[in-house]
Amino acid sequence: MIPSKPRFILALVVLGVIGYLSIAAPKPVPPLAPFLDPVRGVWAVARNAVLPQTAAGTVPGLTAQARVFYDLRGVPHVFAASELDAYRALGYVTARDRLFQLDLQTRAAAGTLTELVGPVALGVDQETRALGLPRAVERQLLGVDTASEAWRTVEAYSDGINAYIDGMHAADLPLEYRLLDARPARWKPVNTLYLLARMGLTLAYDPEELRRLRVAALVGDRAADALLSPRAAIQEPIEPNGQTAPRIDSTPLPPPGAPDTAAGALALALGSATRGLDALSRHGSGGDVTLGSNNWAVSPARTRDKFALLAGDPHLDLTLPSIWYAAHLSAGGLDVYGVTLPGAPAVTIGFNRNVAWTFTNTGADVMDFYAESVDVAAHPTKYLVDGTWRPLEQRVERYRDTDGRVFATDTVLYTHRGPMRRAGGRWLSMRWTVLDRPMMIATFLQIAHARSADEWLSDMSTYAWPAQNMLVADRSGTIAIRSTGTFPMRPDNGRGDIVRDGTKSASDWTGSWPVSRYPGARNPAQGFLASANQQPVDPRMDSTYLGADWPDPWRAMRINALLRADSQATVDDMRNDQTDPGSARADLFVPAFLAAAHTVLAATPNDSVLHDAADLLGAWDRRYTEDNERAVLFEMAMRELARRLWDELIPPGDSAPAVRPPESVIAALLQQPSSVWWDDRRTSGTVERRDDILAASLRAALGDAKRRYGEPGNDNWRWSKVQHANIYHLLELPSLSRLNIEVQGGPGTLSPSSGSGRAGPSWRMVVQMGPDVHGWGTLPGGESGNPASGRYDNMLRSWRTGTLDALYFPLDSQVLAGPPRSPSLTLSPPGRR
Amino acid sequence: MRDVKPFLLATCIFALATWAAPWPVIPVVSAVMLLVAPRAFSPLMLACAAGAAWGGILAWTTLYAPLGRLAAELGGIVHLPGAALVALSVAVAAALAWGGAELALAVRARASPSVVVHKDN
Repeated sequence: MIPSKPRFILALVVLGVIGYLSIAAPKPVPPLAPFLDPVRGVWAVARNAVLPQTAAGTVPGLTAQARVFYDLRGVPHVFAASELDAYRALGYVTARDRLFQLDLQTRAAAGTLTELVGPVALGVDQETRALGLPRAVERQLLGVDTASEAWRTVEAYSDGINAYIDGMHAADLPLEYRLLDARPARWKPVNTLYLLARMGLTLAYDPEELRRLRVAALVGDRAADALLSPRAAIQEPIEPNGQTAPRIDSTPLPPPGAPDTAAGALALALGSATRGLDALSRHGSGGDVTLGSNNWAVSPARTRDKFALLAGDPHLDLTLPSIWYAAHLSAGGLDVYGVTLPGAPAVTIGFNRNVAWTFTNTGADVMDFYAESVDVAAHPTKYLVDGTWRPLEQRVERYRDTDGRVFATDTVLYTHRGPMRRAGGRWLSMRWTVLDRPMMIATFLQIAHARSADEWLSDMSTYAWPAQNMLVADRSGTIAIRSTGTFPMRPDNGRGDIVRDGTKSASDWTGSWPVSRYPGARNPAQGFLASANQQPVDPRMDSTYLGADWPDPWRAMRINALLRADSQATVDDMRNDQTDPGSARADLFVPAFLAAAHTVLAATPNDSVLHDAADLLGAWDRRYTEDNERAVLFEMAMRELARRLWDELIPPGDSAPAVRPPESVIAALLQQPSSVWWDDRRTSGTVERRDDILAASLRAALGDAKRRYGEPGNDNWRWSKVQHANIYHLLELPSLSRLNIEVQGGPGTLSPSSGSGRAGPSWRMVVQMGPDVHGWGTLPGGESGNPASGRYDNMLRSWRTGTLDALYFPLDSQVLAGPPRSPSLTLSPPGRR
Repeated sequence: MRDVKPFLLATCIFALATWAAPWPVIPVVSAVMLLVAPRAFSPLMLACAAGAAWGGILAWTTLYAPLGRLAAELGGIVHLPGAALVALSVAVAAALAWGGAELALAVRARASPSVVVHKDN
């Protein structure tokens, strides 16, 4: 029979539709047939999820064969003939596991996300470029000594990445590229600089001036100074101050002053200029402290085994794959284990056979704003300095789509200080250490070789940004810490939290702190050192301005309390402390709430709600364990307290404070029961005192908690039902993310869990510096970026429970090559396979 | 029963073709098979064979790779069970093969309209 015409037409339609959806499908739909092809399509991602028992590759530039063995946790151990070869191999294995992450992170820093994901990312790219990051990187590149060992290492790493990209088959394409219908670009050495600039943005972007202006606009300059003070209200500094307990500032808080309208206008301008980057500030967009890290070390005398112990616990955004990539590099004089940033050829946090090190963010003020005068407000070409017009540098930024076509342009203006932006009719320029000097990868390459803590600190002396509290311990038992980075010196009062007059060159930075002045300590008498982003040095010891509005010291207080109480510290103690559910914050505020409730109940004994609330809170053990059913009441009471206490900071027409001062300021206010700040000005005819506000907050918290979670005792009150960790995939696809993870810890605990749960411990590590160095660690995910791989999230369990895994640090490759054989990869120079 | 051998043959050819070349090979191979051996193959059989070939490759993959986990992750993205995406892959292969075969049938009929082309029409 002759085929029917309808079937012929139907066949044409079927093939046409499939062809269209496969070749010209509108984004974001991936091309249908290529996507579903069982050999080259998305299903190939499953085949790449498994490490083959043996694999081989070629890497141009290798001087000899390099071997890579993967241990049971999926961590690569690189054994190479030379250091450059080791970094080439590191580039290769990083690309093999994290290619999409390499690409995405770099593009985010370069302001070229639109070239990967299309115009949807234009706003993000514009913010990045307006900050001046790409320009700064380009200028840094011009100053690079291309003959230096560091740059040769960057190039070697780049060679490794490109060798992997060049050797990729269609089936090797990571899932994300398939979803986006994109291809990876070849890697350039400059991408490493972009990536490091991105870390600068993550860790050192904090427009402190904005918060202060917003407060000054409402309650005047003097009150703003006190609320967001350069002197933290509770002193538990990184550099030991000789005290055995935290010191709470007893200076009375000045009363609210008259609103400062000039500050209000400037706050509006600055807020408008920085709005797109609010979430990057350590205060987060909702006033929620988003990032926090801990590290501590114990001298041999205070450990059970008489070896120095070091614990590292940097907190960053939680992502899948993890922000870190763990690796062991062994080549010649190099033998180092730790975590690398995918895109940067260096072990950032880790240990070698002699020294272990880790960081927390210093949070120093390294970014300033200047109010500029320009020749033409709408389209300026010059700006005024000391009565002379200087030309503005104009840089045209071009944004390309996924096909490489320019679809948008804008112009960023620069003064000699940095990028200048118009906001609210004003022009503000910015100076920022991250834009000033290159982050020297050389320092990280050097420290991998350090033989002692002193040598390590010496190597780190030239480190510029982002400023870090660098903790180091060595096998001889030395422990040391130093807040290291470029700390600007400023004219007159030295303050960096004010917008300065850009028309005067006298407003400019006058230099930077010498290393000898950096806060720090070495082998202190107390036998331990700890940092948790708190103010590094007690202003009674050094009052030079380093920053303001310091993060609350709750984690620092807790870890110091734990370390003071433990004179026989063990590895398990260190590990357990990292997820300790205790809270210095609760220890301080719960008694205050209860005392206030009892005072108020004495006058109003029939207040049954307050009575119940006090009973419930009083029964709390002040621990944020997963099954705890009282922490939620305390958290709601704290929220209510801030809302009632800071009524002076609520802008007209709003219902929430524009800025929430640190909770340590509230702790100091507890000692001033009659302070005018306690009065809630919204209640006319009544003047509240401390106990009134505390009791009212507790009472309201119980009502809110019942409305939200039901009666006390209800399962919904369990902490694990209230607060979760959420680890999102880089593309924020929920099915590739790990969400609603039950974790121990709450706001202010050593493993803080608060807000959206999207930030947290990014790498936990404990190292014992005995005759043989032993390490334990875990990542919030795994080594692979392939969601189908067991190595995508195989460490999540130990991360959630805080158990840590033993880190395998073999002396030579034979241990891994012998039975049972580990998956291996042999990398050879071209033509020598 | 006599259709089993050509079906298995077609399945093997589709599988090999898929290993060797990207997806457009399916309708092309389907058309060629129908043109070369019109008595042995029908569009329906070729569709089933292509689906079986892709399904077989996927089944083989599950023996050594976490295809089930991947399917579940992908299904989550589009809010479908992972098995639905596997089924969609099989369906796409079948549709490509059927379309190619039907077009070949039309071409062949146009070239020699008196020829009886195949059994199931």
